Amino acid sequence: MDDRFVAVWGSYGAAALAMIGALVVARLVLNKVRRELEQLKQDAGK
Amino acid sequence: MHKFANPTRFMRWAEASQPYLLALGIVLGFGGMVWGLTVPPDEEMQELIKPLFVHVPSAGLSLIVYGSMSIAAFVALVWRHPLPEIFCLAAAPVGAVVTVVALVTGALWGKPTLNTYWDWRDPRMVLELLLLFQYLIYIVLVRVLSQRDPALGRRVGSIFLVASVVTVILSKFVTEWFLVLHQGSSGANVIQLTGRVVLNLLGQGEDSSAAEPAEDDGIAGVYVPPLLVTMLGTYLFYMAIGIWLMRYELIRMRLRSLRRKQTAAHEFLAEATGT
Repeated sequence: MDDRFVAVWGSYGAAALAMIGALVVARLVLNKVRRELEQLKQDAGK
Repeated sequence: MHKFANPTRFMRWAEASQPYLLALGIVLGFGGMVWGLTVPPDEEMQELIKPLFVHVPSAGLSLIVYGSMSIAAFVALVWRHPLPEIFCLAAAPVGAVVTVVALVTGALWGKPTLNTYWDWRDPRMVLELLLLFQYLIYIVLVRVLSQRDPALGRRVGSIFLVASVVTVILSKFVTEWFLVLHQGSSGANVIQLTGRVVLNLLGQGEDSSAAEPAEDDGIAGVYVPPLLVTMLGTYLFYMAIGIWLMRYELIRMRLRSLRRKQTAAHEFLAEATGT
């Protein structure tokens, strides 16, 4: 594949993938600890 | 100023602004990228000017994040405040991600322009890789030490950040001090770019439709607006992600504290009932 094509589309792809990946992972880990906190509060309430 | 130093108050304010930062970041970040793909070819680089709009924002942000983490770590060490430490914990993964993006886009761009993906003799490239290792070392250091004592882990991490900020300073000025393969500073920071856009709007700047490089720095006027938009979008987007991660770190701290209390209560009950 042409180096120029890879340079342009590869760099845009990498930047976009990183942004989407960061968004998804940050949301997932935040939801996970929020669920854990809710669970712990419920357990403490019992 | 001092009232924002309260973690709960700061997070209330930060979380209220987070959806707007995220929306603006997505619109400007991805919009700027699309704009960057449609710019006219550069006089010298032709189509190869296009990776500029993703490489420069990520490389700049990798240095800004580490620099701000080092300042926050210094504040945490001097004033013993938890908020800067939480900021550092949240910013480190963001910084690591943008550094990887800077390295990948730089390597892909380097092949057709510098005729190599990587050159160990180039200090700018090596310093960027070193920066990635520093982000990873900080994350691992704090996580490992925090298993025994979270406060100790955060403190040692802060000392590491303050001591290793020299990489950021070197990375910023290395193209001026040494003869390197990587191109020199292009004047591509948000303040300078905003200044050029404002001057153009006032009709006092250079020809904004020209695709030939400006004399004072490396970026032609036509590329300044899309670069500024992409930089602003990228910064706002990762700032919004950072606020989510700060919330994540705060909840983790709360979880640890609640679990400790729960364990202590169970032990007390077991002792009291003799079971």
